Amino acid sequence: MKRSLLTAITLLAVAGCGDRPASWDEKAQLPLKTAGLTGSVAVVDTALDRVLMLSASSDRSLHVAALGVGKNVVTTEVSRDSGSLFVLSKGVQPRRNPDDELPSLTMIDGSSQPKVTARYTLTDPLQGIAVDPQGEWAVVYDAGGIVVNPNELIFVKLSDPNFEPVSKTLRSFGGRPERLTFTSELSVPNGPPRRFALVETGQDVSLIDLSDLTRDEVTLILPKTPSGASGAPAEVAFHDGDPADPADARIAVRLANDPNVMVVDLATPPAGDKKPFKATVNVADVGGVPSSIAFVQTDGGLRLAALVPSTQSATLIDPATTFPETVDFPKPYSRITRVTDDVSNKPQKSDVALLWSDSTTGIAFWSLGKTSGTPFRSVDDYDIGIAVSKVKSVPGDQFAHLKILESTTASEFYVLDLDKRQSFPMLTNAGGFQLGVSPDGQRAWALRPGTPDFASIDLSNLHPTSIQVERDVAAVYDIERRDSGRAAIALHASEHGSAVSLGATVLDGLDPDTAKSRFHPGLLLGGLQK
Amino acid sequence: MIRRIVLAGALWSSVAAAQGAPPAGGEQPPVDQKPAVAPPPSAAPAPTPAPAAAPAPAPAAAAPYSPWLSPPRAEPTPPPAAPDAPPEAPLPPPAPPGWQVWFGLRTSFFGDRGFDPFSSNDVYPTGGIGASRSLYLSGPLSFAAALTYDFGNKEGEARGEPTSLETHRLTIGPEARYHLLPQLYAYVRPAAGVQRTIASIDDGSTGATLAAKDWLFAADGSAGAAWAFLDVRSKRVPLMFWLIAEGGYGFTQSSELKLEAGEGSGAPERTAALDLGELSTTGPFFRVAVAGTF
Repeated sequence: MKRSLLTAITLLAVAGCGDRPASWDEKAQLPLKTAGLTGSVAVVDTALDRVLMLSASSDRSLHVAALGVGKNVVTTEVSRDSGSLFVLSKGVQPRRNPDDELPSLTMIDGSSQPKVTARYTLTDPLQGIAVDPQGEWAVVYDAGGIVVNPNELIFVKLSDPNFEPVSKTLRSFGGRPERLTFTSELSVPNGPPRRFALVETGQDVSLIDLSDLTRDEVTLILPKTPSGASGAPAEVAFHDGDPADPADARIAVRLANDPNVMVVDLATPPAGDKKPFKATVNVADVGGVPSSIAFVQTDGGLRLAALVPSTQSATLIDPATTFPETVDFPKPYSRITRVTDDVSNKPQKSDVALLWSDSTTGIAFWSLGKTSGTPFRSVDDYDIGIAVSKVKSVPGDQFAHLKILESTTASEFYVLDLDKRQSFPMLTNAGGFQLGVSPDGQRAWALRPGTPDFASIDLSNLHPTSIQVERDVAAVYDIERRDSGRAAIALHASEHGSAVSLGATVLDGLDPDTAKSRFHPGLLLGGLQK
Repeated sequence: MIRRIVLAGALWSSVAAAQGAPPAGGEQPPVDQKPAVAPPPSAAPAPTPAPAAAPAPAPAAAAPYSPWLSPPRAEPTPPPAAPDAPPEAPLPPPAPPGWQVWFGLRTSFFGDRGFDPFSSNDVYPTGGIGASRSLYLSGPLSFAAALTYDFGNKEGEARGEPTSLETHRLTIGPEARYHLLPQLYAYVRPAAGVQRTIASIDDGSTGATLAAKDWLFAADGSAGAAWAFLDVRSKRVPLMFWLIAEGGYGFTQSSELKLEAGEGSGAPERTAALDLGELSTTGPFFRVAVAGTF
């Protein structure tokens, strides 16, 4: 009896003195990684190995869904359509027990009803991720650790939640993967059209056939620079060529600090060779170190355009013959963006490109249909007073003809109408603002982080609406609401002592009236009670 | 006032004397006899008692123990002349307490997840005061009514944000006592009442204190024992001190932890409630207290 009583008291004491979950003691750290998706805003809570997905309703209420991801988040990536968030975690490292979590890649649906759609377990803790713009593939790369295989790539087929990730090690010639580019479908002489992953290392470029990952990659060794150093890739471009010709798909490589560009034909292999193609390399000198390359259609056929700011010109290279043709520019434009598909009256056989530079003011339209024989008249330049650091496209069809031109130094930005060839300055009261475009392509948002001020710009009439909320804003996202309409969510992150707090102001995205907004506090405490 | 205390003391002594009389059925638990009080020293030999020095009035000794009875409004007996007074009679064993007032510490254990934002463990200490009054006595059993007020305030952190949980618990209920010894009794006590719960957080995102305040139904069931550890009775002051230990289970209606910004808190307009789920301050507890009876 006495012993039973003692046991009961001991059990009571043990049960009563239980500690709370450690999550209540884990403090978040600034900066918080956030991302805007189609129907929700993702806040990565690395301290608790979870992602808070914020979605809104028309009554300006905010729903917080805490989705668990792998331990020790390394990096995140948003799909090009903003529909998914990819979270790469390295798991428990070093693993001491069989139960210690392995590295993983978690895929989260970014709609207004967010959920984890797939989780792929990986064998090695890698730190980089490249997501296919077409949403078909993700490649995890960049190993870290004491003994690593830097040339290991892990391929994950995103369309199949049960896909077993495939590991592939590139043959190394001294480099390691630095950038990945996914091609569109390219025709090859032997076999059906297929997509490739172009892997740039420090000194070569590899072509990986995504239709058959077991096939050996094709490695393009780059020519040495004039100074004798190993050539390093700076940019790649690709084009399928004539759809009727399966043997004219090409890949171009711009070399860093080198006037040469490399053009690779996916040509017909020798008779009897069952390989899908034979990579034929040609090198062309463009007359100076190019800053940007792009395949463009001209009235003379497909050309590789290479912009050479040092000569204020572009060199058009015929990929079949590598014959160069020079087009002079009035200014040393360094970047080229093909905008043919974004203009209303799309040229039938040729492209229109936008030229810009972050080191000289102004932009130019380059009509490539008038290139041959009339090179000077083919470039229409506009002095907009700012050096453009970034060109943002507007999603959707309605306002695709608008481009938003950003500058990192000026306190203004421009909305460029490609159809009317007009640019509209938008002045801000101070520099250092960030620009974003809503996923529905109807509005742009300008924000100066760390202040309570931001603005919405209606792209239909370019009417700006200034908004001042009651707390400093870290980011603003425009998302689809759970019921109907759109919401603007302004995130407020702050640090008080050792505590990091996150709040959000929810506004109507279409009518951002602060008299009707609603503030939601303590978001980092969401989901801990369950 | 002093007169009333003297009167009450006289009644207490007489009631206690009645309880201390040999029980008819032999069921009265054994009692420790206090040593007889020595007569005051006197230089002269003790005189033969004068015929006028009658013994104490008998009616009080014959009355049954009735703690809830008011003291009889008898005329005070004038104190006998000192030189003629007989030696004082020893105090009888202590009687079951009539009024009892206590203060003590209650430690509760809340396993509910709603308690986690406010504490790193499940322990919730409170201070309390209470009073009880014996209402009925039958042999070794007695019954009392007890009123208890517990107050607690625990401060914690939720991911670094300061939090606080404050409770005020007022319960009333009967108390059944079983007197094992005059200095020791065991009891059980059910009680019901209300609890005022104030949960708050100093939220950094608003820069304001958000709070959830509720009135909740509360009930306790406890059992314990009381031991008279200090007997300072005199004929004038029937005061005894008791040590009380009890354990039990406290039930409290659950409350929603929707912490809201108050008016003038400085929070942004239309700040939504911070939803931390539900809080249930239900769980086992134990209490230690020191009581005084008179």
